Amino acid sequence: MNKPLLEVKNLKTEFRLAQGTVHAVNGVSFTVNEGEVLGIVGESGCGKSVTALSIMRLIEHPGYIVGGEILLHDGDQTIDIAKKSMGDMINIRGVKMSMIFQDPMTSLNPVLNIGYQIMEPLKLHRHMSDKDATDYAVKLLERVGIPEPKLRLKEYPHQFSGGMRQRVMIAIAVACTPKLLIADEPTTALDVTIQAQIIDLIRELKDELGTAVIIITHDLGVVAEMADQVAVMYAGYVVENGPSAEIYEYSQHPYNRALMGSIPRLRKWPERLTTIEGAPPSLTSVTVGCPFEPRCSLRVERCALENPPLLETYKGHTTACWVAQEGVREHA
Amino acid sequence: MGRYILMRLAGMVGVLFAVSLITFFLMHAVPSGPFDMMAMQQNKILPDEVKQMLYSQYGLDKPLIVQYALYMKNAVRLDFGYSFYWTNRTIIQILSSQWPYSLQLGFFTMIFSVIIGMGLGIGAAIKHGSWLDLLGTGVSLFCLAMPAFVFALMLQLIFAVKLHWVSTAGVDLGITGNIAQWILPTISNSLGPVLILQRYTKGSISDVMRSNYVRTARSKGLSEMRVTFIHIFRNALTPIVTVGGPMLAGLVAGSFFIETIFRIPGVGNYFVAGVLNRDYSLIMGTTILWTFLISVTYLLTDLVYAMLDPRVSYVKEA
Amino acid sequence: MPDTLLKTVDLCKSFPVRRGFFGGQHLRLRAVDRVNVTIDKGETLGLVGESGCGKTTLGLTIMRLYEPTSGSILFDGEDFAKFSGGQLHHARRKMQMIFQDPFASLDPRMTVEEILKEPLNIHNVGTKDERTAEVDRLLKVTGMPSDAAIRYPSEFSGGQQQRIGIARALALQPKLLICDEPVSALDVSVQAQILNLLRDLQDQFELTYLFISHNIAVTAFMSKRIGVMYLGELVEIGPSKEIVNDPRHPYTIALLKAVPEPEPKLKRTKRQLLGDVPSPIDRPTGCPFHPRCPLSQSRCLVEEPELRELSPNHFVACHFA
Repeated sequence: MNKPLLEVKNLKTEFRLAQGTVHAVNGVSFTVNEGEVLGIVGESGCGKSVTALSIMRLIEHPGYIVGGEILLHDGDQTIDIAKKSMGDMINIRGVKMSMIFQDPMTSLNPVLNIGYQIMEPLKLHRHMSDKDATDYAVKLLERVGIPEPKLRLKEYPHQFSGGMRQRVMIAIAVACTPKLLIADEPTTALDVTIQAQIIDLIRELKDELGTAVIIITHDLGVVAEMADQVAVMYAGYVVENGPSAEIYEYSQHPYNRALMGSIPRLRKWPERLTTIEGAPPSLTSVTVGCPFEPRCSLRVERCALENPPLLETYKGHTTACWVAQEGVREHA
Repeated sequence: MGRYILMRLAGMVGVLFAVSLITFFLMHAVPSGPFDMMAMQQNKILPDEVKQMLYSQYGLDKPLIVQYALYMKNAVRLDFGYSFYWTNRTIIQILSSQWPYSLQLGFFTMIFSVIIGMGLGIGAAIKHGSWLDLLGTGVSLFCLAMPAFVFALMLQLIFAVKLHWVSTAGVDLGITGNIAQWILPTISNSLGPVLILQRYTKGSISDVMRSNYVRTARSKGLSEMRVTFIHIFRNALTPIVTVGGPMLAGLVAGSFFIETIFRIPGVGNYFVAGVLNRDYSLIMGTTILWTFLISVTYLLTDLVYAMLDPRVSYVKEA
Repeated sequence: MPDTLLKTVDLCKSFPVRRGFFGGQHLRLRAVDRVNVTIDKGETLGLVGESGCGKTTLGLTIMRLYEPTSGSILFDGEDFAKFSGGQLHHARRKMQMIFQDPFASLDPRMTVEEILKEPLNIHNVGTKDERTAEVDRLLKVTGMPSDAAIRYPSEFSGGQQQRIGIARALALQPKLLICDEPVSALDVSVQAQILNLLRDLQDQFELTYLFISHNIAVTAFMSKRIGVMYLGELVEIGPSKEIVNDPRHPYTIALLKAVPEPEPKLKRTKRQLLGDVPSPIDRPTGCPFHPRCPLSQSRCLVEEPELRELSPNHFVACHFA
């Protein structure tokens, strides 16, 4: 279970716009082991979605991957996805890795029926015949909890609710039993009770199929429910990475600690919520030093001069902070 | 759906009646009548007694509303009478022998515009910012700024009169004759359609290219070909059909300017002649034909649209 | 009670829905169905529910931005629903609203100063100089820089835009502020700033809030009491702590179980609430929740449950809670 499946090393992705170059992902590294769930959390603009799209090589002009490696360990081989051509990617996407997206309402082709969209990867990647593909598609729909699957195969996306569409998306994504599933804010657009159903579904499928999952979200609650490992991103960097319980109970990075304190909890009733001064930095400027330094209450001189790398502060728990590394492990 | 079609056909009948009524009265409101013009052409003035006699012979002395009623009574049996100018030909004969010319012009224009217009549009969308994109924009600007009849005259002047690549003699029907004669009229007639198709195709494809479901399609590991043809084009088609339909309607009805300038004996040409001659029955017949053609084309466009986009349904929920 | 600021009595808002050819059947969409809520002066009532439950419509109906179909809105003792003309215009000063999308609710062509002055101009409050001074005061009170007045909304971040929206709502010194998902469109760290601000303003100006949100944790933080809505009806209402720790209505129980909590060590059980959030157009008979309810019995199909007080100030609309 601890065999690495995906190793992202120093990934850099930028967007070349008229106003300047946006350094969306600034040297991100993490590992996902087989069958494990990694949660990537952060607020908007931190680069988490761009990281996911980079792994799938879905970044298009004016975006470019400008550095780093994305190593997928596929059985005996290791392939560097960052260096693959688009033609090669066709045999990787949908088969070895797949992705589900945030907005189920617009993520399905409105003019093709659901059956067609599910069977596309089955026919192309697994070379199934029409009949086999249809039968398998019915099984998939059943597995993801869509009632009357045979009938619904012929229906169109607009005839499904948001939660149902997301289930269809999941069915499409797991159709070829990929080794890695990337879920980009899969529940953000859904109601709470539907969200819970989708989270449960992804967890079950992950256990059944042995798929590793990267779940990207800004919702710390969702990540707590799903993830074994959590990576926190800020301004295009990973600032903390560790086992889920560690990140929540013993968060080290000042940003993460402040974040934890700023979320209202169901059963804790503080007088005030922790807030973080200022605003996230503009990604067009290349900063020297720690990106969080201007807003950090614990900053020291070194922070403005040198960008701290991710270093281990405790077993399996890394933090990118000069102050935290010198500190003692304390409760959040 | 059948109910919808019936509703539309019923509406069409209403439109035909309304248009014919308005045209009829407008037509009679214009000074001079059919015989005055004929006389004028022979540099004579029609004496009143002759005019009275002719009018009573043709029933033109009856009250307008009676004339209209009589006309419509015949019209619904598809009897549109004889031309006042070409007195030995019925309207049906005239229209049925001349409409094929307009149809051919429209057909050639359609093919040419689709290839050039949509081709430039697709290129502009896929290769954004490239020379193809700029060319497309340039062509569109040209089409927008240049009046069709000026362009037609220019082409005629350059290629027919000066260079003698084609003659000014007009066209033959069908494809067996001198096809080259159709080139200039087709190009001149295509200014509007190319503009519309280029811009809408570019816009529609650009929009669809950026949509979430195209991203999903790529994430499934589909080839670019498949993504382009099945996911992008299929969706981009609907807005294009929406504008293409009415455009086609205009094309099948013929074009005054182009037909006159290039001496194509189509319906447009004959309509102009009819108005100048105050040829009442020809004016009415042509107008009714046009209204019918345009209405049918709009209906077909809507049906095709419903076929293309499953979200559109003309069946009301129970 | 003399301390009650707002009390709705069987408030209803329904919309006609045309079905069939030539508008044959006229169904009605009951967006808000006989809702009774009471808010005391200085308190915050939270309203939670999923999409289609009617919470936003309720807020808009109380404000009379939608005209109520029936029922009363007792505001400061008088029936606001029956006001018209000058009386209505004057009464509107006391009730204001802030909205979910901060950018969409500010006119992009008006400067911040113009936006904040508009309510003062409409209601003829103060002299010209006093209005300018008021703009400065409002900016200060909501934590905005004083040079914000001459700038346009698009020059500000989401959190700042929401502060402008709050400032505008406070311009007329209202008694009641209806907050419709005020932080849902904002980042987590900015949410905290706005929530703290709202709490501070409530203390500073003795405001009363109706806080509408789909996020129960946020609502529990802000509100003393919480009401839960489902398909246009209020199914449970009570003190926040009780609702969260001891929910009684089956829907509330399922809703709370579904909320993802940032506590990785909590034992996770599979949530049992099946099916989709229903559309208010196809409203079930009897109790609106019966098709998905684990406790439902034949009575639930026919008889609509009324709100019953199960513990002090804690009401539940269920036959079997």
